[in-house]
Amino acid sequence: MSGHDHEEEQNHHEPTYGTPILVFIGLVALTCITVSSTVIKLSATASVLLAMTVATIKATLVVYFFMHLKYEKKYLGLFFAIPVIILVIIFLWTFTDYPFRVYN
Amino acid sequence: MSNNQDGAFFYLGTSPHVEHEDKEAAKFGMWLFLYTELLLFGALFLAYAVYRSIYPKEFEIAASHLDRTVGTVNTIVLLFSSLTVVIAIVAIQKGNKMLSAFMLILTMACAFTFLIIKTFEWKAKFDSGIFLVPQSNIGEASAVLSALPQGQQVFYGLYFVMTGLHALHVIIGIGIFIVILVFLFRDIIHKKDVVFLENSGLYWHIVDLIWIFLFPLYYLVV
Repeated sequence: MSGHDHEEEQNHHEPTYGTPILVFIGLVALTCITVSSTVIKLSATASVLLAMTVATIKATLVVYFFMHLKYEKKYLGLFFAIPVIILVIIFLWTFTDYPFRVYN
Repeated sequence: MSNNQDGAFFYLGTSPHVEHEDKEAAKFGMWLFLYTELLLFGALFLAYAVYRSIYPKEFEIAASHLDRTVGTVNTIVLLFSSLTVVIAIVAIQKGNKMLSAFMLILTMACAFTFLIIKTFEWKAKFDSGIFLVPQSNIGEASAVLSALPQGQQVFYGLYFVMTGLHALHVIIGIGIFIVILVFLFRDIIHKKDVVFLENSGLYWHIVDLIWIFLFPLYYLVV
């Protein structure tokens, strides 16, 4: 999207107005896609999957460009994986339990 | 990390102390705080996921009573406010203080808009008899809510708690940006030192990030 791929270190890239505006347009477009996709009657599983996929793409754009992770040192990005992995583990672990419980 | 390279520093006297201001550590600390925020909301999202798997039908019915248009407008407002924060940071890095201040005010205006829309949305639910805490003038729990199936009660419980906690973060965000604006006018934040603004921006983006997931789960997936 921008020409900063060769930049490795923070603060060496020239801050621009263009990239954040482009990212914003992308985020709005993705929002429009999810909202309009509800018009088509998808199955419950498919609509959850679609909505969560689009939300994840939007979140990635926000973290990468708005939160500047693209321009930060590598370790911050690696560190960001820790809470994400913790959350994934917690979700997976919980769902090895709850669906197999018997209610009433 | 960076010793002050401005000539101005040396006017401060012959003190042997060199003021160490580690901007990288400041940013790292902010990220650490954001991780705890992710885990805080993550627990609530987990509760949502579990209850949705137990009461899929009830969640679908209750969610269809939320106003999708209102949710969409609020999403756009919040995304736009994230953009204005980024522009405020770029502007001050380019030395354009007035544009930066204007963008911060715009961000706060967006935050207010978000909260006003949210208030009307909640008000509509309260008026239709759905609320969690007994209203003081009635003094009783919501009869409408108690009459609903248990799955829908859980849905509304999670809806009010999660959007409420999120709205609380938006309110705190407005407070932070007021402080940042003061810092900007007092030149505590300037072209060479934007770490306060950057960190408050990071906070604001996390608030946006959480809404990105709240929005489809409550308004779209029905």
